[in-house]
Amino acid sequence: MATTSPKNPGSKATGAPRFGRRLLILGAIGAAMAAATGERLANWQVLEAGDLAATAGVQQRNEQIIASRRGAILSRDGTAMALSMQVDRLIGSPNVITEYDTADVARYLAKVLDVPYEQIMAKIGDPSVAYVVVAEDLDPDQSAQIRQSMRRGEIGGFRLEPVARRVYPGNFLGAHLIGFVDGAGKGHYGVESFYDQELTGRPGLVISDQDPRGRTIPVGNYDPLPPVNGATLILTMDRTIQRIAEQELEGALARFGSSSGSILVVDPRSGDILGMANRPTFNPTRLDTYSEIGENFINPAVSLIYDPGSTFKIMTMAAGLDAGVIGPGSRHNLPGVYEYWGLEFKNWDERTYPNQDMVSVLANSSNTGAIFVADQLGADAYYDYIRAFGFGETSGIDLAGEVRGILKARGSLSWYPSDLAANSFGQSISTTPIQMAMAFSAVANGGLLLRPRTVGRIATAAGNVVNPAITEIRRVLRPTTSRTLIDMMYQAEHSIPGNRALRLRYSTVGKTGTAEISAAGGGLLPEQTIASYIGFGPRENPQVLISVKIDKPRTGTWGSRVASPIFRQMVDRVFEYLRVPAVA
Amino acid sequence: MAAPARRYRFLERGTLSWPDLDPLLLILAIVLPLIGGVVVASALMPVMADDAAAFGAAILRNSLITTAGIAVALGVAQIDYRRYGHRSWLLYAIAVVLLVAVLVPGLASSAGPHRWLDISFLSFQPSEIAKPALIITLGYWAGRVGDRLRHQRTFLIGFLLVLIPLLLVAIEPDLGTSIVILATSSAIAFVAGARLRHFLYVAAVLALGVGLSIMRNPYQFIRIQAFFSPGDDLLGSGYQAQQSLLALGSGGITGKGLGMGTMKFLYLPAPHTDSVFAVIGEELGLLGTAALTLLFVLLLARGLWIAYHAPDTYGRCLAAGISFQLATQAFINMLVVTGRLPVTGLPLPFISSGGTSLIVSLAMLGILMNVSRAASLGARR
Repeated sequence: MATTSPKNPGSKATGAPRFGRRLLILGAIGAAMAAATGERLANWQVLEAGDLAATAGVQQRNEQIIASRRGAILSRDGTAMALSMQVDRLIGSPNVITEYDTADVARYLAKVLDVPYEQIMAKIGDPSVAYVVVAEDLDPDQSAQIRQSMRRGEIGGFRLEPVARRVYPGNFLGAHLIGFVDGAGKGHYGVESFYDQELTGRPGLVISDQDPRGRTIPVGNYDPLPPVNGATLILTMDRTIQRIAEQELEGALARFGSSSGSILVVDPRSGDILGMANRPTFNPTRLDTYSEIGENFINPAVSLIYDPGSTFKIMTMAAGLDAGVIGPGSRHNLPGVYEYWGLEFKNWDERTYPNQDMVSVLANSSNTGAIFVADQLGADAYYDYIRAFGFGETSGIDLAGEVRGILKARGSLSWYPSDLAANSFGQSISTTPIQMAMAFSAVANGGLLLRPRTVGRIATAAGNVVNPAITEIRRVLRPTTSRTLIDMMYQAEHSIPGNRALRLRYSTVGKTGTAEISAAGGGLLPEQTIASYIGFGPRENPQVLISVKIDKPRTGTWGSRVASPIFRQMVDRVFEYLRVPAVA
Repeated sequence: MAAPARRYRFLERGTLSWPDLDPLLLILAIVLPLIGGVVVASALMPVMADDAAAFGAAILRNSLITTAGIAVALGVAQIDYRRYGHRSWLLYAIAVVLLVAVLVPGLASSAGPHRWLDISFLSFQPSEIAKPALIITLGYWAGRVGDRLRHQRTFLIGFLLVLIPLLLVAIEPDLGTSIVILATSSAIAFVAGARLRHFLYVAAVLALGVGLSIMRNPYQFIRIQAFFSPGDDLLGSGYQAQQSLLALGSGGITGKGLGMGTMKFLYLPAPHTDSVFAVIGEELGLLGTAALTLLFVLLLARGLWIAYHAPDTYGRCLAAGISFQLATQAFINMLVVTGRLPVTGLPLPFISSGGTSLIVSLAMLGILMNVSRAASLGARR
């Protein structure tokens, strides 16, 4: 501004300054402040903007995992065997209850929750506690009542926390097959473990901006990835058949003074497990009552091994027939005692049966007859067949914890030539019940080894239904061999006087087994056996296979006395339930 | 000197006769409060999330205050500033009384600093009244004393005139407003021709006073301390400063868009008042903050131009004082938000939500418009 302005006279007399210059100085001060502001703005909003925005983003970003709902497990007939439901639990913060009368609150809760007042007071009485679980598993009515009271401000310092609970309406029913879920939502044993991923689904994730109090900022980032709920599994297990199997097993164990055993019901045409009963067992709904996850949680049908005994003679006979080294009419003396590679083998009654056919080997369950068949085949061919039947490998069943059993074949270090003889009648070989059932299924279905399965259908949360195909592992026998062997088994079973396995209504075939139990330190346990029977029917078109195994029966040791009558009972009830045509 | 006064009595002709208002100031008087209204509405979004009715009430209240404020500016612009100069003593006295009243326990609102006065339905900050009262009084007085201001005794009278409200505001305590009052008064005295030597005396006295003030009010010291070491106390005073910078940085050059800022959700302290500039920075970016800075530069430049052309010392002091005060307060607020100055708690004139501040600022703009009218007439003459 011009200092020569006529309006800015100054005063030479008083020495008054020219205000124009002073106004300019004020302007310069303002400009300096504006420039300082501009410099800072350029710094923060351009140069440092990236770092600052990132810091702000981290400060506000919140990731919340949303649990997916675990899928249900249904029986073949559509009944829920395992369900996930959300229940509330009541959390208290006694340190903030202070503005209420704690005793009043406790009396109110005691009434709603139906628990003693003292019990509530013990939990919320101490005002220094910030977090205490007041009650678990509230029923919906209790939740609603408490929620309403909280809304009305009648009680304070509490909140309801949703918790996922796995419920097994059948309790013990099919426990080993189903398994259980732990507190963290992870499946253990059975289907719950094997299909854990499918059942769990995929948890969701919500990424959002939050204010310092944890509330979502409406104009902030909001990126929700919704959870995918778990799939529903439809078991091959039929609830009625499972119930029959468990009832019969319970009854048998009581009758024969045994504490453990298994009954399997399998469809030999598909490998579907219709029933799988085991004792001892557990109740997956009441896991809290078990001090440890003990032996009763192990599924003996797939995870425990035993020497099958005479039922295995069917495998030996099938191999001999299929290879053509013997026929149904092949004849042989069945010596009472027979020495093979330095070891003595005996028939169960130590009797010699001269000039018998192969049906007689089965009917009399002759050990020496089985040795004859295996010897005719030779070790290489014999073990090829045994492996083809699935021994020495897992059956591939869709249950957790399956074991392979122990097959010492020629070529393995611990194998002796005499083992061929022992194996031919089911000793010195360890199998699982499921392996035996599938090997028998191969005989029943015309010679195919199938993969057993417990889940027949998977329905995803999105509504897609997967029907897993029946899996053929391999052909073991020619169909004619299967046919011939079934006929031989039929003749053999009917030639046994007073056979407790047979029923006139249904034409079934099968084989008893009385296995000796290997002691832990070698040798055999005296007077202790595993009594078993594996059979199927109807003879012309086998639809159902039932395997019965009773461990260490105290009254009666023989399969024919212990397991056969259970098989007969099972056939009666299961065949009738499935409307299998009776013999005319 | 008396003749032009009649031309500004706008009811005199029986019709609403607008003087030719300063176009730049007219634009600023409308644009700045409107920017403020929009940004404050955005900054109040967290209130909407909690309580939609309270949000609606706040928006309605702000709209009414903005409208009233613009009307006041235009109304005041009609009144010749020379008509009320001789009554400025009354205004000064009222301001001092109110500043004393705010310190009386029963009348002040709530605890903490005594800045607000509650009189039935009115709630306002006496310090906001004191600011224009002092400008007018000081300006009129300077015009009256003329060259005698260069005498030490006269200067001392002027200093005491300033010191009374300054101390009353300082002990509320409101250090930020005290600084603005001091800066404005100094500017007026400076323009009126006071001796530089006298300013040095004043500076020495005040340095002593500020030292005492800080000793009396530890929180001022904490803020200053936090300013010099922002990393130490991220959850306290330093946290506030840090959050403002995060908001500015998040906005970048172009901003997130009006309403889209997230920092106002409890991260920024007082987003609709003291930190409103940070909200502008986040939502409108550097373009918004730079534009607003520029508007205040224009306001100051126009005010100083008016001062230069003002017909008398009184008008010159008014124009320089008003424009310097509004601009200085704005720049201090901006420099606080941008981290150059410690947190002072000063609102951004015209923009921050706050009834007293907005209406008083607009009234001062009205006075400036009136001086501008006189200045342009003088310039034409």
